[in-house]
Amino acid sequence: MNWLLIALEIAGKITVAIIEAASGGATVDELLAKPLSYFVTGGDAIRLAQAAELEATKRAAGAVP
Amino acid sequence: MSSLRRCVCSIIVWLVMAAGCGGPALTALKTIRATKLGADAASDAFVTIYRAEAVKCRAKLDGISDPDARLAGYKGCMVDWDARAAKVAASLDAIGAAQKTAYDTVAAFAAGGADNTLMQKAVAAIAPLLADVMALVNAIKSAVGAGGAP
Repeated sequence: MNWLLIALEIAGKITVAIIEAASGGATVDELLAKPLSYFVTGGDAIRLAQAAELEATKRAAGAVP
Repeated sequence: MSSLRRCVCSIIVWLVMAAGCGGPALTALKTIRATKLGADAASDAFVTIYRAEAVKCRAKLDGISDPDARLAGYKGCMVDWDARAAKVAASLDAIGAAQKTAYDTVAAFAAGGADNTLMQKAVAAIAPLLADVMALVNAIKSAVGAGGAP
């Protein structure tokens, strides 16, 4: 049965190569290995910008030393 | 010859199965990634506009020396933009939640714990949300281009 395992191994490598070529280099495993934060986008960037501008205003007004 | 035929058949079946499992998951992950890039672009565009408006509002307060009055003036000047910021941020949060659901579903699919229909449904739920937030940001950009805050 070794020949069958070798054949399956080769088939697997060919499949991976086909999927990688079709995806521009990224594989399912690679994408799934990325941290979840890579995929999740929140409104935090906007909230941070709001807080930063308010802080800048406070500083400009002399309300914050 | 019979063994060789069996081997070839096994390889073909394996290839079809692998493509069937890997293809949709990969497409789904690429969709999620594209949605993330779109949402990031929308967020960046809004932050740029918001900051520019904040600078304008601060400039209007230059003659006011009382810190409390300046802060109150700033908050009053930015009230519309803060409302828009809350809307865009909520839309981005909704996209983030949909992305997380889609990502988890794809991961479950890849592990054999979800079917293809469920995965496609989770991914399809992202696109309309992105369209909403892009429309909102584009409307704000148009309003700014047309002469300031509406």
